[in-house]
Amino acid sequence: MNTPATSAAAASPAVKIRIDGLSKTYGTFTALEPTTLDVQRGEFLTLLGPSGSGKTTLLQMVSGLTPATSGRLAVDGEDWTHRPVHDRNMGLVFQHYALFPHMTVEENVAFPLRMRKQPAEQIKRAVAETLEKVQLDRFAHRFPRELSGGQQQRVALARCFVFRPEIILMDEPLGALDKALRETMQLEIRRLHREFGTTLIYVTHDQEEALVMSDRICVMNHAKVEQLGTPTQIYSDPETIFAATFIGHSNLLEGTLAGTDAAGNTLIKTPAGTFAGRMGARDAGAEKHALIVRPERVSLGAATGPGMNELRATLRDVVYIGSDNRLMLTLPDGSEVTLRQDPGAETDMAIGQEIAVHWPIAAGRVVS
Amino acid sequence: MSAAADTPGSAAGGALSRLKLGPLWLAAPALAFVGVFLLLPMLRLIGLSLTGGDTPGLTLEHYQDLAKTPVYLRILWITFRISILTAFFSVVLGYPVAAWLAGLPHNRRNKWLFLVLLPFWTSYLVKTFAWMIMLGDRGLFNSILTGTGLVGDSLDLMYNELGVIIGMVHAMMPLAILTMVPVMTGIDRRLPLAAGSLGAKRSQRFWLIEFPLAMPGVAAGGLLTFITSLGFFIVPAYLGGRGQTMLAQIIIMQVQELVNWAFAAVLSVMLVVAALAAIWIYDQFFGLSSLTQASTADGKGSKIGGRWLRRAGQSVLAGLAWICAPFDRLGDRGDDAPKPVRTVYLAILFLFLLAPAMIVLPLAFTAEQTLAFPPPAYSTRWFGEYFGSQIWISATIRSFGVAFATAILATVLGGMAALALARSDSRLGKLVFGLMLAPMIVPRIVIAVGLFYLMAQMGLVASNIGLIIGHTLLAIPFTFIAIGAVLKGYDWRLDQAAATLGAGRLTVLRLITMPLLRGGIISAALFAFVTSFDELTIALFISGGLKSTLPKQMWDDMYLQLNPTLAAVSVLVLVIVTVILLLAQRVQKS
Repeated sequence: MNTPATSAAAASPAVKIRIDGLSKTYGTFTALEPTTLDVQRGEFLTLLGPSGSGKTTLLQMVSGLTPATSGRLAVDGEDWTHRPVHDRNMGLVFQHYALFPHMTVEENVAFPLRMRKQPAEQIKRAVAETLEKVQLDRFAHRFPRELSGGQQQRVALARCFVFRPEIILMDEPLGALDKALRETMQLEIRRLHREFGTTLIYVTHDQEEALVMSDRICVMNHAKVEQLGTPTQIYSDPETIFAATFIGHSNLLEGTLAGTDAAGNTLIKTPAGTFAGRMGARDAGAEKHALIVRPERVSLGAATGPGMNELRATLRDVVYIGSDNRLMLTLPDGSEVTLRQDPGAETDMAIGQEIAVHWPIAAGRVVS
Repeated sequence: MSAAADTPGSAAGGALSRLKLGPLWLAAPALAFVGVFLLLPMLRLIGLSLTGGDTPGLTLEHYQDLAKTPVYLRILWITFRISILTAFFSVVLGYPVAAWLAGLPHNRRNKWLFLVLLPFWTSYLVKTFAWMIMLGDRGLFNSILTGTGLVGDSLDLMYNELGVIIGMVHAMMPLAILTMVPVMTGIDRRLPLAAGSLGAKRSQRFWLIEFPLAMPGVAAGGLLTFITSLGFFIVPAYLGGRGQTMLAQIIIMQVQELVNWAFAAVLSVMLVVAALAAIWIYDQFFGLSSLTQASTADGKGSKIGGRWLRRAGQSVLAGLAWICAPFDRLGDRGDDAPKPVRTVYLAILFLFLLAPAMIVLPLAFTAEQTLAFPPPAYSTRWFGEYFGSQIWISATIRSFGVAFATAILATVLGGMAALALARSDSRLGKLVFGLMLAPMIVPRIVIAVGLFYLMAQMGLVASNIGLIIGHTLLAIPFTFIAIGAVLKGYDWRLDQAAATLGAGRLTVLRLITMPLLRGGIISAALFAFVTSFDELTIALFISGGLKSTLPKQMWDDMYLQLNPTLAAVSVLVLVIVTVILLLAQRVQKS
């Protein structure tokens, strides 16, 4: 299991949440294998993965809504494994907002403060302030059902931020919104996170969302962590085939390891030829290896010098998607390679033509 | 109800739609039926209550008589008191059961709901008979209590208010539970969790979130049990004493023994007014639509949405939460932990609900002349007695025949009305809706008295047709609701799809609509069958002499003496009802 470098400093004040071997099983079904993970104070950490990857289970165990089968959870160095939900002081934002339908916007937002027995005057002020921050001050007396999806989501955010929780957990909060609104809300959540300095764990299956918002991303699959790192690390240095394909577009050339070259690069033998790349796989003994190259690192034409990989393939299609052209190539063994091209570039290639492409060795990464 | 408002199919018949009725015409037969056999007799009763005094013309004399007679005022008061207590205990004791059921996964919930449906549909007579055996002086409870030496003398559990309340709560609690469950299942289950994450403790989660959201269901359960209780006579007649005589009993006496129609009419009007008043109050707070829809429970229909009232309600709830907070540590723990307190409570409640069935079964097989429990020896002689009796057998055959005819008639009438409402967006829909449910709202005893008066003039007393008409009237609300529910979930675009693929109107009906709705229609018919098969009130007036139905025969027999044949008949009734309910559940699933 991947352990972050910071774990050496066990009692470091920088660690807000320590997840230590937390696991969840239902009968014979494993929802989450033992998982260890530290979340830094003030960090925006995203749990990214497809459904069934265990990301929501992990979040629920941190929130206390689901009891853990094994392992420990510590917050600020204190054991919180068995602390009841209502004593955790964590803010939770649910996918479908879970607003109280029988309360107005104002009452919804005031709820956590009332639970904390704050004086009425103070509640009123805090609620007004927070509603203003999410631009809902005009809707204070409406009921949730009278609001649009985006507005309801902002109420949920306000209800969460209003009591200044040190930790906020969000479970696919933008899942029900359309694309444009989602992008606005992503920036809104980032802004609120920065403004309040909260430690935030965010669950999503949307890789773009994860890249945009996170300080670090924890990629999950099949009930365990695949890779943990900053968005840049995850994107450019994936460690597994899954991480590489789940995040962004990837060209994937499957093959077997074939030693190293003089420069120390790993060689991988694929049906399209043997290529060199940086070793990213954690386990050289894994069954399956692949070379990963991002489309934007691949260029047209034969290799221009040393330190390059080159292959030849048939041009199958050219797709214009606005910001760039996407060239789709088919290799003799049927696998595909995509590359991006400036849409302004002059091309005189015909579909079906065989062309050469190349990329720097450093841009290729061998993963398992 | 106007789900299909914008589908082209609802505009069928351009000429009709100009009348703004459209498909609503389909409801006409049912409306005519309810009009002739419910509204008309009601008007006649009102007329009777206002005429026939010492002076010709309209008079309030009979009402003044009522007000001047303390004994009737007392009976009015007793009726209210027992009904309110019944509604209160049914809802409060049933609440945890309903909440538990609502939290179960769909399949398991349906299985457990069956144990609530069974006592719901079990004949009141069977239930009352069983309670008499259990609560009597030498009944089961007293035998246990004196036998174990817990008490020296046997306790008075029956022929008093305690007995009536036990019997009534037992009779009404299934209705309360069945009304609350759909509202509770409609509540977003993450809301209490969300409240917990926002810092709400157990009592606060319950009183500030769960309870107010369940409130429309709770109130509807209270309303329905209250209205139904108002017209009760079986339970107080057998389990109560002189001090627990209820209005319905007096009405029966006025009609059958004293033949004092004017006074019976006055009392009937009082009952209806009480029922309507309760409904009006409910409507003001929750809106009637939440009665039949598993609404989102957010007070959408509320007319009294005043901020002041809301504030007051919230303060009360906050106060309740505060009062209960110290007890949060008691009782069960949350989450996945085992909940012994809840388990024990549920066990006791289901035992209570199913006790009559469990007690009657062994008694039917007693070898003795008496109803001593447990029976000293077993035999099937009482079943032999039943099958050898011309009276019992003919009553049984009549009940089956009447129930069968009722099932068909009520399903056709109620189904057409439901279809009309599902396909119409006319503003008259609300009125049709109310009229279809009227037979459920007007106390049965009043319907029976009114029908008796009408049938007497039509020469249909002591006739099968009279019985079928009366039972169909009672069954229409059930078929209407059951078929309306499946229609609500029906995707009318399927019809359009079939039409675009070349199916004609009738073909669509035969190949698409009917097969998809079949489960709902058959189960509606089965419910109508049970409604008729169990029915006593109308049979009490309209069947008679050799034209008895099974419940009527049981009533007469119980009046004379409790005997083991009754237990045998009860078991037969239970078996029949159980089989029909199982059938209904099965077709609903498929």
